[in-house]
This record gives sequence, C-alpha cells and structure tokens, in this order.
Amino acid sequence: MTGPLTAQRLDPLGGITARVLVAVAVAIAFAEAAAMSSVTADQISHPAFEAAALITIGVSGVYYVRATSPFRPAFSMRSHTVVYLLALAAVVFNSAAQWGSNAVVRDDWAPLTLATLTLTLGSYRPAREIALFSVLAATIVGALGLVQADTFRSDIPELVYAITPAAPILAAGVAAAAFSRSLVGSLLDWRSSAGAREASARLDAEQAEHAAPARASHLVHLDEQVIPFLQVVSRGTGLSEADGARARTLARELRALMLIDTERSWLERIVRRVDDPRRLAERMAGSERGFLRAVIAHLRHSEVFDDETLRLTLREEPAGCSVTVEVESRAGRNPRVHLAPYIAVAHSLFSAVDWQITGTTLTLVLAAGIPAPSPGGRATRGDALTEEAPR
Amino acid sequence: MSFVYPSSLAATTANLALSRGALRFGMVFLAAAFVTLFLVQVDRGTYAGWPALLAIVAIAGAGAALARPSGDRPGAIAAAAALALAGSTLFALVLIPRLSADGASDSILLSMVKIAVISFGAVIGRRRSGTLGVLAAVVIAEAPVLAVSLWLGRAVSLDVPATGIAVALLAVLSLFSVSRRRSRASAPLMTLAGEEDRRAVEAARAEHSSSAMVHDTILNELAVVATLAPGTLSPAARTQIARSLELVTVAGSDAAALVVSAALEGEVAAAVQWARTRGLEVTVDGDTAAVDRLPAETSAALGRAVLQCLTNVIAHAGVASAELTVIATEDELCVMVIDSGVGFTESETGADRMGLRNSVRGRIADAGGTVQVWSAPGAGTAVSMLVPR
Repeated sequence: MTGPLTAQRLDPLGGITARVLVAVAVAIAFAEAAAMSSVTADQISHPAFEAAALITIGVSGVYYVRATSPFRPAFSMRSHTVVYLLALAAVVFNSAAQWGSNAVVRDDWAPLTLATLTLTLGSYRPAREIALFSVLAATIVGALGLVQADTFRSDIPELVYAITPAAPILAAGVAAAAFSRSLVGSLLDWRSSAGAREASARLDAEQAEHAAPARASHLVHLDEQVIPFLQVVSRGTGLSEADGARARTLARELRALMLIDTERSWLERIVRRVDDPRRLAERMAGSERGFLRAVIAHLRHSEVFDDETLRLTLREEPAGCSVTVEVESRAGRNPRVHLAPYIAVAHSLFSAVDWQITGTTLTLVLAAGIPAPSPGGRATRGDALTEEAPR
Repeated sequence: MSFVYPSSLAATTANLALSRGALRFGMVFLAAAFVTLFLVQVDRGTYAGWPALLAIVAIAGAGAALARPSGDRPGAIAAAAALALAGSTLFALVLIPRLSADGASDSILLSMVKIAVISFGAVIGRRRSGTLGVLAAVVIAEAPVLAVSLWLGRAVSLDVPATGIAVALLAVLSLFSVSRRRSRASAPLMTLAGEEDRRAVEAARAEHSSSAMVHDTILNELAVVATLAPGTLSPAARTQIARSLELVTVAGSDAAALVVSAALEGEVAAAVQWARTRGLEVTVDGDTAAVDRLPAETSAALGRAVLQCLTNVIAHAGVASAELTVIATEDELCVMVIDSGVGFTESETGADRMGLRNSVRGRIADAGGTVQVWSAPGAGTAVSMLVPR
C-alpha cells in the first residue's frame, strides 16, 4: 500500500458506502447552484461567467463521482486537487458574474457547493490534506468577499463579508478532517490489535467448518489404508505373500500421493485450471491469497459466471508477479454485477489492478508483490552462513 | 488476519467518526457566529449584545459535554439539551430585538447558531440514535427563535441553511446505513476466505511435519514388509512397526493435546530466542520439556542445528515465521523446524554451501541422530532432526 493512509485504502468497502453520499452531495450541490443562481438572477451582471460557474461545478461533481468509483484506483491527491480547483474556479466565476452587483453575500451559492463537496471527502483523503485544502479555499473565498465589500447592502464590518462565505467551507473541512482522522484511527487500531482475530473468532461453527481446508490426499490415504494395514501386520505373527504385494502397492501409492501433494500449490487445490510453472502462488502474501480465495469463491457461486471456465495464470514480473483470472459469463448476464467490492478491495491489496470485459470474458489482472528469490536465480536454502550466528 | 474490515465494526466506527465530525462542524459555526457578533458589537460601539456571546459559549459547552465519553448517558444528554436550550433562548432574546425591523428569523447569525445546535444533535449518534438527536436538536434550535419572533411580532421565515443542514444530517445517517448494507454484502465471504487461508497455512505446516515423519517411518516399514520373505515376522520387526505407527499417530494428532506447558530451556531455547530477536516469529509446540531432559552433549548439538535451521529460514525462506515442533517417544526425540517459505531442492545446493550439511546433518549425526529434509521450491521446508534420548 503506497501513499498516505486513508479510510478508503484501509477499508475499500467503506469507500463504496461513502460513494452513495458523494453522488447525493454532487446532486445537491448542482441543484443548490442552479436554484440559487435562478433566485439571485437580479444580482448577475455577467451571465457568461455564471454559466461558466455552473458548468465548472457540474464538471467537478461528475469528475468526483467518477474518481471515487470502486472500479478505479483509490481517490488520489491529484483527484482531490482537480475536484477542488474546479469547485474553486466555480467560486471565482460566480463572484465574477456578480462583480459590482452582488448585494447579499449569504446567497452566493458557489462557497456552499464547495462546502457540500468538502463534507464527503473524509472517507477518501487524509485529515491533514483535507484541512489544508479547506483552509486555502476558505482564505480565497474570504478574500473574494472582502474585495466585494463595497457592493454589499448591509452595514456591517467588512471582515464579516469574509467570514460569512468562508465559515461553511472551513466547517465542512474541519468536520471532514475529523471524520477522516477518527475513521483511519479506528481502522489502524483494528489492524494492530486483536480486532482481526476477534472478527475471525466470530465466525460461527458452520462457517468455520466450511473454512477448514481439505486434507492432503496422502494423509487421507495414510489414515484410511496404510495405517490400518500396518496395524494388522504388527499385531499378527506372520507375513503372507499378499502382505508383501499389498505393502509394495501401498508404498507406491503413498509416494505418488506425497509427490502430488508436494507439487500442488494451495491454488491448484481449489482451482482446476492453474498455470503457475514457477509456483508463484506459494510466495504470495496472506492477504493476497485470502483475496484470491474470496474472488474464486465469488466467481464460483455467482450465477453470472460459468465456473467451469475459470482459469488462473501466474507469471513472474520484474516487480513481483501478475495473476490473471479469466472466466466466461453466462449468456444474458452482466459480469459487472456484484464485482465492485472485489475490484475495490483488490486496489487496496495489489500494486496494480486491471480488469476488462471482452465479449463474455471477464479478465482480472492483479500485480502481486512477492519476495525476490535469493541471488543467483532459484531460491535455494540450506546454504552455509557467511558468518556464524551469534549466540 | 482478515483483509477486510468486519461489517460488525463498520457501523460503530462510522458513527463515531460522524459524531466527531458533527461536533467540529458545529464548533466552527459557533466560532464564526462569535467572531461576527463581536466584530459587529465593536463596530457599533455598543456592548448591549454581550449576553449573546455568553449564550454562544453555553451552547459550545453543551456540545463539548455531549462529546465527552460520559456524554451519551441519559442524564448528561438531558443536561446538555437544557444548556443548549437555555443558550438558544438567551441568544434569541438578545439578538432578535436588535435585528433591523425587517430582520427575520433566518438571519445569518441565527442560522449559524441553529446549525451548530442541530449538528450537536448528531454527536450522540456514536452510541444512540443520531436521527432522534438531530430531530430533538431542531426543536431546541428553532423553538426559542420562533417563540421570541412571534412574541416580538417579527417576521417568521423558513431558515433554509439550518433546515438544509438538518435534512442533510438525517439523510447522511439513513443513507450510510442503507449503503453500508449493500456495499458490505460481500464482506462475510471475504472474511471467510481470509480465515480459510489462515487455516490452510496451518494445515500446510502440519502436512509438512506429517509428511517428513511418514517418509522417515511408514515408507521404511512398508519397504521392509514388501521385501521380507513370507513367514514369521520377528518380534523386533513388529516392535519397529509399532514404534513407527506411534510416531506417526503422535505427529498427526492434535498438537494442543500434546503440549506440555513447560518452558523451553537450554541450547534450543537460546536458538529460538536468537531467531526471535532477528524478527522471526517462532511458534514452539509439542513436548518441550523432553528437550530439557536430553544429555548435555545432545542438547548442545541439537541447539546448534536448530540455530542453523532458523538462520536458514531468516536468510532464505522469504517468510517471517517458522514453527518448531517437539515430538518425544520413550527412546527418541524428534525436533522439526517447519516453514512455509520458498523451499529449495537440496541436490541443487552448491558443494560449497555447508550450512545444512555440516551444521545440521554433521552435528546431529555426531549426537547419534539422523536428519530428514523435506522441501521443494515453493512448497516450504520441514527439517526433521531425530536424536536418541
């Protein structure tokens, strides 16, 4: 995980939860802008600027909704900057549209729309960044209020014309920053404490039973065939020719099963079609393995996909390995359905995530970081120490 | 550790974050109202409105009281509500008469204070119903303004900003709940997958341990039975088979049932401690007390061999954890060092690499024991060291 810690990076599903609020906030902001622009039409002296302000806040909102999509990487500082600059541009255009004719400061809509968008940033960006952006924006908005002081009707100190439009932005920024700090703190506490283990412990008995992995085939063979045979032999007094033949057969079977079990990776135990000649699956991190298990379980149990066509390919890359998951969707089904949470979580676990739907084929490519093999190629062990370990 | 935040905690942490955000949102508006009122008072050279500043401080105090850990007790909520109501009433009584004749109940100063009170209603949402809190706060914020305006015969207008904030807060509280249910529908499956992986790793370790033991014992016994001529089986051969069966049964049974809770001591303990100081998480289980009862020379050899195995895990395995298992029978003691790392092929290690050959095999052989290495690239490694007791 690179970049500053945000609630979305630590809990991608929470990011999806918050996105509904983003969409609602954007809709409210635009409705607010359009309605107040219409109500204050008598104060607008430069309609072209007002139109530009409305277009700019619209573009800012659309960009914001797109950038928080679970199918995209986590909402970045760059995206935050774009949203903010566009919303600030709307503030400037709105002021320009009323330049010299702005009678009432409290009905300027642009600062309110900026505040509305700011309120929803807590799930996506770190507290310090949100606070910094909102202080800068409040300063600019306040300055714009001050320079227009002469045109306002009310007889109050000029500084009030700065405070009135800046207060909502500052309040929204401080609130969003507090929201972000609290959420990130809770998520980090959970990660570092026994929270994860407690959550696992809450799995009920039935789930725990399903979570139990299948035993290795050679151990099953050992319990069911070999040990009973040897118990009979050890309790008896003699050996028959059949006993010798049976021992040879069991030894051959046991060796073969042990070899198969050794060569099969955890991935090959759960998916039939795995192409992983370098056994990279064994070198993936626990969270990456857990995610792949979850995706595979989802694709298997979803009615949308044909699990018989599920295929995984693992290839070594300079920075780790790429995991390609391919599966066919059934005719008439939308493969995107219910996929969003998995893509969102993948973005938080893998260094790169790419997905596409070509025809009926869903292809998901994940870049996993795996430990580099020791110098000289294949990972080897049993090497002598270059220095004797201290005692 | 699960890789997704549990749904059972998501609502609690989101409500706590919303509560903290709502408190600060209200406080900034109160600060803005305070500064605005102060500037107006100074500008007009009149200080008749100073009680309104006191009212703002009282309302801020109500918000701060709600935010305290004890602020969600019924008594504390009632006290904070009373304080906010008193503050709102005082503010309305002082401010409304001083508004210009056409000043309405939606004056910006009144709006700022009302927004703050309404936001504080959401603060109790961290433990209780934020919706009820907001609705109660709307009454506390609006009732005094409405009453004083009607009493003074002033115009009453809908306060759009304050009403908008109340509606927005109620929408956020309900939307969060609905959206959370939808977006986290897949969380149980993901948590289950994480748990399945954790269990699979444990199972793989157990398999390594068991496989090494099977290789050393059961396959040998099968080979003996397969090659012996038909006839009477000697008591020694029967005893050997029974001993191998005992070893395999012990290795395959629940480790927890075997654990003797004695602390690991001596050379082996020193090796484990050394590895732990270098960041390797070493899990020790089995009959550790049996290690302490080994002859001194055997214990020293075993300790150095274990040290070499753990050193190899740190240097080459690419994992941060290893398992050390002790299995003791009447005559022998088996120590296994198991990891789920990158593995290796012993025959492919260079002739100049002497660690496993000398530090492990040589030392254990000198102590009268044998070593079995069970590994393959990508499949982890189990080193089994069997020494006489």
